[in-house]
Amino acid sequence: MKERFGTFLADGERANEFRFAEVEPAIVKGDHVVIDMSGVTNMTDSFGNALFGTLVKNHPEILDGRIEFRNCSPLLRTLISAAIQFATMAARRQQLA
Amino acid sequence: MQGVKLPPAVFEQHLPKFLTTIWQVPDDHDLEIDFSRGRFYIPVAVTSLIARIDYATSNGGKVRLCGLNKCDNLRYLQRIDFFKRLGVELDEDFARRDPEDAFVPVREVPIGGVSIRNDEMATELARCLTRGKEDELFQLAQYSLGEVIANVKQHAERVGFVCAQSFKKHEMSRIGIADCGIGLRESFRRTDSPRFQEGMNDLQVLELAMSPYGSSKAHLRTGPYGETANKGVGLTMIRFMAAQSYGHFFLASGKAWWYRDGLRPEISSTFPAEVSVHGTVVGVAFQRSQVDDYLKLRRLAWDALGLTEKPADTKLFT
Repeated sequence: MKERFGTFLADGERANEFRFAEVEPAIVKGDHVVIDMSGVTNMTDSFGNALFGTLVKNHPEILDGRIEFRNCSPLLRTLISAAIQFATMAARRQQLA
Repeated sequence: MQGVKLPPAVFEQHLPKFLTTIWQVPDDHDLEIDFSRGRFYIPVAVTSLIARIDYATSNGGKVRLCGLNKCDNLRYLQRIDFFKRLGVELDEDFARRDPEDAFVPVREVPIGGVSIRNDEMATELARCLTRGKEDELFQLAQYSLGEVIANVKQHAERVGFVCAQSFKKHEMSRIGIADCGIGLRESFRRTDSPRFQEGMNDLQVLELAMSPYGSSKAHLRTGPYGETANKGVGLTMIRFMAAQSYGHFFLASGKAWWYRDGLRPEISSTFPAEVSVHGTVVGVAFQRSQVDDYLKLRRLAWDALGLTEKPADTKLFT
Protein backbone atom coordinates (compact mmCIF):
# COMPACT_ATOMS: atom_id res chain seq x y z
CA MET A 1 0.00 0.00 0.00
CA LYS A 2 2.81 2.39 0.85
CA GLU A 3 4.46 1.93 -2.54
CA ARG A 4 1.18 2.61 -4.27
CA PHE A 5 -0.39 5.32 -2.10
CA GLY A 6 2.31 6.68 0.20
CA THR A 7 2.35 6.70 3.99
CA PHE A 8 -0.94 8.60 4.30
CA LEU A 9 -3.90 6.97 2.58
CA ALA A 10 -6.14 9.92 1.80
CA ASP A 11 -7.70 9.93 -1.64
CA GLY A 12 -11.03 8.12 -1.75
CA GLU A 13 -11.21 8.34 -5.53
CA ARG A 14 -7.91 6.49 -5.90
CA ALA A 15 -9.03 3.96 -3.30
CA ASN A 16 -12.20 3.37 -5.28
CA GLU A 17 -10.25 2.85 -8.48
CA PHE A 18 -7.88 0.39 -6.79
CA ARG A 19 -10.75 -1.60 -5.27
CA PHE A 20 -12.69 -1.71 -8.52
CA ALA A 21 -9.82 -2.44 -10.89
CA GLU A 22 -7.62 -4.73 -8.80
CA VAL A 23 -9.03 -5.98 -5.52
CA GLU A 24 -12.57 -6.96 -6.54
CA PRO A 25 -11.48 -8.88 -9.66
CA ALA A 26 -9.10 -10.90 -7.46
CA ILE A 27 -11.91 -11.64 -5.01
CA VAL A 28 -14.27 -12.66 -7.78
CA LYS A 29 -11.57 -15.07 -9.03
CA GLY A 30 -11.50 -16.59 -5.54
CA ASP A 31 -8.04 -15.34 -4.61
CA HIS A 32 -6.96 -14.82 -1.02
CA VAL A 33 -6.28 -11.08 -0.67
CA VAL A 34 -3.43 -9.76 1.46
CA ILE A 35 -3.24 -6.03 2.16
CA ASP A 36 0.21 -5.06 3.41
CA MET A 37 0.14 -1.86 5.44
CA SER A 38 3.80 -1.69 6.39
CA GLY A 39 5.02 1.91 6.41
CA VAL A 40 1.49 3.32 6.30
CA THR A 41 1.00 5.73 9.19
CA ASN A 42 -2.45 7.29 8.72
CA MET A 43 -5.64 7.06 6.69
CA THR A 44 -8.75 9.16 6.12
CA ASP A 45 -12.21 7.72 6.57
CA SER A 46 -12.87 8.60 2.92
CA PHE A 47 -10.10 6.24 1.84
CA GLY A 48 -10.98 3.50 4.34
CA ASN A 49 -14.67 3.56 3.44
CA ALA A 50 -14.02 3.64 -0.31
CA LEU A 51 -11.64 0.71 -0.24
CA PHE A 52 -12.31 -1.52 2.77
CA GLY A 53 -15.87 -0.49 3.62
CA THR A 54 -17.19 -0.86 0.09
CA LEU A 55 -15.25 -4.08 -0.36
CA VAL A 56 -16.95 -5.63 2.66
CA LYS A 57 -20.31 -4.27 1.61
CA ASN A 58 -20.00 -5.77 -1.88
CA HIS A 59 -18.36 -9.03 -0.75
CA PRO A 60 -19.27 -9.73 2.90
CA GLU A 61 -18.00 -13.30 2.44
CA ILE A 62 -14.38 -12.08 2.42
CA LEU A 63 -14.53 -11.66 6.19
CA ASP A 64 -14.53 -15.45 6.45
CA GLY A 65 -10.81 -15.78 5.99
CA ARG A 66 -10.46 -14.52 2.42
CA ILE A 67 -8.77 -11.24 3.28
CA GLU A 68 -6.01 -10.37 5.73
CA PHE A 69 -4.27 -7.19 6.74
CA ARG A 70 -0.57 -7.35 7.51
CA ASN A 71 1.70 -5.00 9.46
CA CYS A 72 -1.04 -2.68 10.74
CA SER A 73 -0.24 -0.23 13.54
CA PRO A 74 -2.86 -0.01 16.34
CA LEU A 75 -4.18 3.15 14.66
CA LEU A 76 -4.52 1.48 11.28
CA ARG A 77 -6.26 -1.51 12.88
CA THR A 78 -8.78 0.84 14.42
CA LEU A 79 -9.31 2.77 11.20
CA ILE A 80 -9.81 -0.40 9.14
CA SER A 81 -12.12 -1.86 11.79
CA ALA A 82 -14.13 1.37 11.75
CA ALA A 83 -14.48 1.26 7.95
CA ILE A 84 -15.71 -2.34 8.11
CA GLN A 85 -18.07 -1.56 10.96
CA PHE A 86 -19.35 1.51 9.16
CA ALA A 87 -20.06 -0.50 6.00
CA THR A 88 -21.89 -3.15 7.99
CA MET A 89 -24.02 -0.51 9.72
CA ALA A 90 -24.73 1.29 6.43
CA ALA A 91 -25.83 -1.98 4.83
CA ARG A 92 -28.14 -2.71 7.76
CA ARG A 93 -29.50 0.80 7.52
CA GLN A 94 -30.15 0.38 3.80
CA GLN A 95 -32.01 -2.88 4.44
CA LEU A 96 -34.25 -1.20 6.98
CA ALA A 97 -35.03 1.77 4.72
CA MET B 1 -18.18 50.88 -4.88
CA GLN B 2 -19.36 49.74 -1.45
CA GLY B 3 -17.02 49.81 1.53
CA VAL B 4 -16.34 46.84 3.79
CA LYS B 5 -14.47 47.76 6.95
CA LEU B 6 -12.79 44.70 8.35
CA PRO B 7 -12.85 44.28 12.13
CA PRO B 8 -9.64 44.32 14.21
CA ALA B 9 -9.74 40.66 15.15
CA VAL B 10 -11.65 37.60 14.09
CA PHE B 11 -11.83 34.49 16.25
CA GLU B 12 -14.39 31.71 15.90
CA GLN B 13 -17.10 33.47 17.89
CA HIS B 14 -16.84 36.49 15.58
CA LEU B 15 -17.32 34.53 12.36
CA PRO B 16 -21.08 35.04 11.91
CA LYS B 17 -20.64 38.80 12.18
CA PHE B 18 -17.50 38.75 10.02
CA LEU B 19 -19.18 36.74 7.27
CA THR B 20 -22.16 39.08 7.43
CA THR B 21 -19.82 42.04 6.97
CA ILE B 22 -18.06 40.63 3.92
CA TRP B 23 -21.12 39.09 2.24
CA GLN B 24 -23.68 41.84 2.77
CA VAL B 25 -22.57 43.82 -0.26
CA PRO B 26 -24.99 43.11 -3.13
CA ASP B 27 -23.59 41.13 -6.07
CA ASP B 28 -23.81 44.05 -8.48
CA HIS B 29 -21.66 46.35 -6.32
CA ASP B 30 -17.88 46.65 -6.48
CA LEU B 31 -16.05 46.11 -3.19
CA GLU B 32 -13.68 48.37 -1.29
CA ILE B 33 -12.12 46.40 1.56
CA ASP B 34 -10.61 48.43 4.35
CA PHE B 35 -7.83 46.70 6.30
CA SER B 36 -6.91 49.69 8.47
CA ARG B 37 -8.10 48.14 11.75
CA GLY B 38 -6.68 44.68 11.04
CA ARG B 39 -4.77 43.02 13.88
CA PHE B 40 -5.48 39.28 13.96
CA TYR B 41 -7.51 36.89 11.80
CA ILE B 42 -7.79 33.16 12.26
CA PRO B 43 -7.24 31.02 9.13
CA VAL B 44 -10.89 30.53 8.29
CA ALA B 45 -11.40 34.31 8.31
CA VAL B 46 -8.50 34.69 5.88
CA THR B 47 -9.71 31.97 3.51
CA SER B 48 -13.30 33.24 3.71
CA LEU B 49 -12.13 36.67 2.66
CA ILE B 50 -10.17 35.27 -0.27
CA ALA B 51 -13.19 33.21 -1.34
CA ARG B 52 -15.39 36.32 -1.08
CA ILE B 53 -13.01 38.29 -3.27
CA ASP B 54 -12.78 35.35 -5.67
CA TYR B 55 -16.58 35.39 -5.92
CA ALA B 56 -16.68 39.13 -6.65
CA THR B 57 -13.94 39.12 -9.29
CA SER B 58 -15.17 35.96 -10.99
CA ASN B 59 -18.55 37.65 -11.41
CA GLY B 60 -17.02 40.68 -13.08
CA GLY B 61 -16.86 42.86 -9.99
CA LYS B 62 -13.98 45.12 -9.04
CA VAL B 63 -12.25 44.89 -5.67
CA ARG B 64 -10.10 47.58 -4.11
CA LEU B 65 -7.98 46.95 -1.03
CA CYS B 66 -7.32 50.00 1.17
CA GLY B 67 -5.94 50.92 4.58
CA LEU B 68 -3.02 48.54 4.18
CA ASN B 69 -0.51 51.05 5.54
CA LYS B 70 -2.39 51.07 8.85
CA CYS B 71 -2.99 47.33 9.02
CA ASP B 72 -1.16 45.80 12.01
CA ASN B 73 -1.21 42.30 10.57
CA LEU B 74 -0.08 43.29 7.08
CA ARG B 75 3.18 41.37 7.39
CA TYR B 76 1.37 38.29 8.63
CA LEU B 77 -1.02 38.48 5.69
CA GLN B 78 1.97 38.84 3.38
CA ARG B 79 3.76 35.89 4.97
CA ILE B 80 0.78 33.62 4.46
CA ASP B 81 0.55 34.72 0.82
CA PHE B 82 -2.88 36.29 1.25
CA PHE B 83 -2.17 38.97 -1.33
CA LYS B 84 -0.34 36.60 -3.65
CA ARG B 85 -3.46 34.42 -3.82
CA LEU B 86 -5.39 37.50 -4.89
CA GLY B 87 -2.82 38.26 -7.59
CA VAL B 88 -1.69 41.41 -5.79
CA GLU B 89 2.06 42.16 -5.64
CA LEU B 90 3.13 44.10 -2.54
CA ASP B 91 6.66 45.04 -1.52
CA GLU B 92 7.82 43.17 1.57
CA ASP B 93 9.91 45.08 4.10
CA PHE B 94 10.95 41.94 5.96
CA ALA B 95 12.99 38.85 5.27
CA ARG B 96 11.04 35.61 5.01
CA ARG B 97 12.54 33.21 7.50
CA ASP B 98 11.39 30.36 9.63
CA PRO B 99 8.81 31.97 11.92
CA GLU B 100 8.56 31.36 15.63
CA ASP B 101 4.92 30.52 15.20
CA ALA B 102 3.89 27.79 12.80
CA PHE B 103 1.61 28.89 10.03
CA VAL B 104 0.85 27.55 6.63
CA PRO B 105 0.57 29.89 3.66
CA VAL B 106 -2.76 29.87 1.86
CA ARG B 107 -2.94 27.08 -0.69
CA GLU B 108 -5.37 26.70 -3.54
CA VAL B 109 -7.40 23.49 -3.70
CA PRO B 110 -8.17 22.68 -7.32
CA ILE B 111 -11.49 21.32 -8.54
CA GLY B 112 -11.89 17.55 -8.85
CA GLY B 113 -9.39 15.27 -10.52
CA VAL B 114 -6.01 14.32 -9.16
CA SER B 115 -3.93 17.28 -10.34
CA ILE B 116 -2.88 17.78 -6.74
CA ARG B 117 -2.87 14.73 -4.52
CA ASN B 118 -4.92 15.09 -1.33
CA ASP B 119 -2.40 13.12 0.70
CA GLU B 120 0.58 15.19 -0.36
CA MET B 121 -1.14 18.53 0.21
CA ALA B 122 -2.57 17.47 3.59
CA THR B 123 0.78 16.06 4.72
CA GLU B 124 2.71 19.13 3.69
CA LEU B 125 0.26 21.45 5.46
CA ALA B 126 0.14 19.29 8.59
CA ARG B 127 3.92 19.17 8.72
CA CYS B 128 4.08 22.97 8.56
CA LEU B 129 1.53 23.17 11.35
CA THR B 130 3.58 20.98 13.67
CA ARG B 131 6.92 22.39 12.51
CA GLY B 132 8.05 19.05 11.15
CA LYS B 133 7.11 16.96 14.17
CA GLU B 134 5.15 13.86 13.25
CA ASP B 135 3.26 13.62 16.52
CA GLU B 136 -0.37 13.07 17.51
CA LEU B 137 -1.36 16.58 16.43
CA PHE B 138 0.28 15.92 13.07
CA GLN B 139 -1.86 12.82 12.54
CA LEU B 140 -5.03 14.65 13.54
CA ALA B 141 -4.20 17.63 11.30
CA GLN B 142 -3.23 15.34 8.44
CA TYR B 143 -6.55 13.48 8.74
CA SER B 144 -8.62 16.68 9.01
CA LEU B 145 -6.87 18.37 6.12
CA GLY B 146 -7.17 15.24 3.99
CA GLU B 147 -10.93 15.16 4.55
CA VAL B 148 -11.68 18.87 4.07
CA ILE B 149 -9.51 19.07 0.96
CA ALA B 150 -11.36 16.06 -0.48
CA ASN B 151 -14.69 17.75 0.28
CA VAL B 152 -13.78 20.85 -1.71
CA LYS B 153 -12.50 18.79 -4.63
CA GLN B 154 -15.62 16.65 -4.73
CA HIS B 155 -18.36 19.15 -3.93
CA ALA B 156 -17.44 22.79 -4.49
CA GLU B 157 -17.16 22.88 -8.29
CA ARG B 158 -14.81 25.80 -7.79
CA VAL B 159 -11.32 26.19 -6.33
CA GLY B 160 -11.08 26.45 -2.58
CA PHE B 161 -8.53 28.02 -0.28
CA VAL B 162 -6.98 26.42 2.77
CA CYS B 163 -4.55 27.63 5.41
CA ALA B 164 -3.57 26.72 8.96
CA GLN B 165 -1.75 28.17 11.95
CA SER B 166 -0.43 27.16 15.34
CA PHE B 167 0.45 30.23 17.32
CA LYS B 168 2.66 29.71 20.34
CA LYS B 169 0.68 32.00 22.61
CA HIS B 170 -2.65 30.44 21.67
CA GLU B 171 -3.54 26.95 22.79
CA MET B 172 -5.19 26.24 19.47
CA SER B 173 -4.03 24.82 16.18
CA ARG B 174 -6.38 26.05 13.50
CA ILE B 175 -7.38 25.04 10.00
CA GLY B 176 -9.58 27.12 7.71
CA ILE B 177 -10.96 26.25 4.32
CA ALA B 178 -13.42 28.17 2.16
CA ASP B 179 -14.65 28.30 -1.40
CA CYS B 180 -17.20 30.32 -3.34
CA GLY B 181 -18.53 27.27 -5.18
CA ILE B 182 -22.02 25.86 -5.34
CA GLY B 183 -22.51 25.49 -1.58
CA LEU B 184 -24.03 22.63 0.37
CA ARG B 185 -27.66 23.06 -0.68
CA GLU B 186 -26.81 22.99 -4.37
CA SER B 187 -24.47 20.04 -3.91
CA PHE B 188 -27.30 18.04 -2.31
CA ARG B 189 -29.72 19.17 -5.01
CA ARG B 190 -27.45 18.34 -7.95
CA THR B 191 -26.71 14.87 -6.67
CA ASP B 192 -30.38 14.21 -6.01
CA SER B 193 -29.60 13.08 -2.48
CA PRO B 194 -32.51 11.07 -1.01
CA ARG B 195 -31.97 12.66 2.40
CA PHE B 196 -32.32 16.16 0.99
CA GLN B 197 -35.71 17.78 0.57
CA GLU B 198 -36.34 21.04 -1.22
CA GLY B 199 -38.30 22.37 1.72
CA MET B 200 -35.32 22.14 4.06
CA ASN B 201 -33.95 25.42 5.32
CA ASP B 202 -30.20 26.08 5.18
CA LEU B 203 -29.74 25.20 8.84
CA GLN B 204 -31.21 21.79 8.23
CA VAL B 205 -28.90 21.41 5.25
CA LEU B 206 -25.88 22.16 7.46
CA GLU B 207 -27.07 19.57 10.01
CA LEU B 208 -27.47 17.06 7.22
CA ALA B 209 -23.96 17.69 5.91
CA MET B 210 -22.51 17.14 9.39
CA SER B 211 -24.38 13.94 10.12
CA PRO B 212 -22.87 10.51 9.41
CA TYR B 213 -24.04 9.25 6.02
CA GLY B 214 -24.86 12.90 5.33
CA SER B 215 -22.64 13.52 2.33
CA SER B 216 -24.56 14.67 -0.70
CA LYS B 217 -22.81 11.90 -2.63
CA ALA B 218 -23.09 9.10 -0.08
CA HIS B 219 -25.97 7.45 -1.94
CA LEU B 220 -24.47 7.53 -5.41
CA ARG B 221 -23.53 4.31 -7.11
CA THR B 222 -22.62 6.03 -10.33
CA GLY B 223 -19.17 6.87 -11.61
CA PRO B 224 -16.46 4.73 -13.13
CA TYR B 225 -16.00 2.53 -10.08
CA GLY B 226 -19.62 1.82 -9.26
CA GLU B 227 -19.49 3.68 -5.92
CA THR B 228 -18.82 7.16 -4.65
CA ALA B 229 -15.76 7.68 -2.49
CA ASN B 230 -17.73 9.88 -0.15
CA LYS B 231 -19.71 8.32 2.69
CA GLY B 232 -20.11 11.48 4.75
CA VAL B 233 -17.97 10.53 7.71
CA GLY B 234 -15.03 12.94 7.51
CA LEU B 235 -16.76 16.18 8.46
CA THR B 236 -18.68 14.41 11.20
CA MET B 237 -15.52 12.99 12.73
CA ILE B 238 -13.70 16.32 12.54
CA ARG B 239 -16.60 18.06 14.26
CA PHE B 240 -16.61 15.58 17.12
CA MET B 241 -12.82 15.39 17.48
CA ALA B 242 -12.67 19.20 17.66
CA ALA B 243 -15.25 19.08 20.45
CA GLN B 244 -13.41 16.31 22.31
CA SER B 245 -10.20 18.39 22.23
CA TYR B 246 -12.12 21.43 23.59
CA GLY B 247 -11.49 23.13 20.27
CA HIS B 248 -13.89 24.80 17.85
CA PHE B 249 -15.89 23.80 14.80
CA PHE B 250 -17.61 26.27 12.51
CA LEU B 251 -19.57 25.64 9.33
CA ALA B 252 -21.43 28.09 7.11
CA SER B 253 -23.06 27.85 3.73
CA GLY B 254 -25.91 29.80 2.15
CA LYS B 255 -28.00 31.57 4.74
CA ALA B 256 -26.97 29.58 7.80
CA TRP B 257 -24.08 28.99 10.18
CA TRP B 258 -23.33 26.44 12.90
CA TYR B 259 -20.75 26.72 15.68
CA ARG B 260 -19.60 24.68 18.64
CA ASP B 261 -17.05 25.77 21.23
CA GLY B 262 -15.57 22.69 22.87
CA LEU B 263 -18.23 20.58 24.53
CA ARG B 264 -20.58 23.51 25.10
CA PRO B 265 -23.98 23.31 23.42
CA GLU B 266 -23.77 24.20 19.75
CA ILE B 267 -25.22 27.45 18.49
CA SER B 268 -26.55 28.04 15.03
CA SER B 269 -28.58 30.63 13.24
CA THR B 270 -29.23 32.32 9.95
CA PHE B 271 -27.57 35.40 8.56
CA PRO B 272 -29.57 38.60 8.05
CA ALA B 273 -32.02 38.34 5.16
CA GLU B 274 -29.81 40.12 2.63
CA VAL B 275 -26.75 37.96 3.37
CA SER B 276 -25.90 34.65 1.75
CA VAL B 277 -22.50 32.96 1.88
CA HIS B 278 -21.81 31.66 -1.61
CA GLY B 279 -19.94 28.40 -1.25
CA THR B 280 -18.88 26.74 1.98
CA VAL B 281 -16.77 27.80 4.96
CA VAL B 282 -15.23 25.35 7.44
CA GLY B 283 -13.16 26.40 10.45
CA VAL B 284 -11.62 23.85 12.81
CA ALA B 285 -9.50 24.33 15.91
CA PHE B 286 -7.92 21.71 18.15
CA GLN B 287 -6.61 22.47 21.61
CA ARG B 288 -3.05 21.19 21.47
CA SER B 289 -2.75 20.12 25.10
CA GLN B 290 -5.75 17.82 24.58
CA VAL B 291 -4.32 16.14 21.50
CA ASP B 292 -1.95 13.71 23.17
CA ASP B 293 -3.65 10.60 21.85
CA TYR B 294 -5.17 10.71 18.36
CA LEU B 295 -6.57 7.21 18.61
CA LYS B 296 -8.34 8.03 21.87
CA LEU B 297 -9.83 11.17 20.32
CA ARG B 298 -11.20 9.11 17.45
CA ARG B 299 -12.75 6.63 19.87
CA LEU B 300 -14.34 9.42 21.89
CA ALA B 301 -15.73 10.91 18.69
CA TRP B 302 -17.20 7.55 17.68
CA ASP B 303 -18.79 7.17 21.11
CA ALA B 304 -20.23 10.68 20.97
CA LEU B 305 -21.69 9.87 17.58
CA GLY B 306 -23.35 6.78 18.93
CA LEU B 307 -21.38 4.65 16.45
CA THR B 308 -19.99 2.18 18.92
CA GLU B 309 -16.77 0.96 17.48
CA LYS B 310 -16.49 -2.80 17.55
CA PRO B 311 -13.02 -4.15 16.86
CA ALA B 312 -13.01 -6.18 13.67
CA ASP B 313 -12.25 -9.86 13.91
CA THR B 314 -8.64 -10.09 15.07
CA LYS B 315 -8.10 -12.95 12.59
CA LEU B 316 -8.19 -10.29 9.88
CA PHE B 317 -4.93 -8.81 11.18
CA THR B 318 -1.76 -10.78 10.94
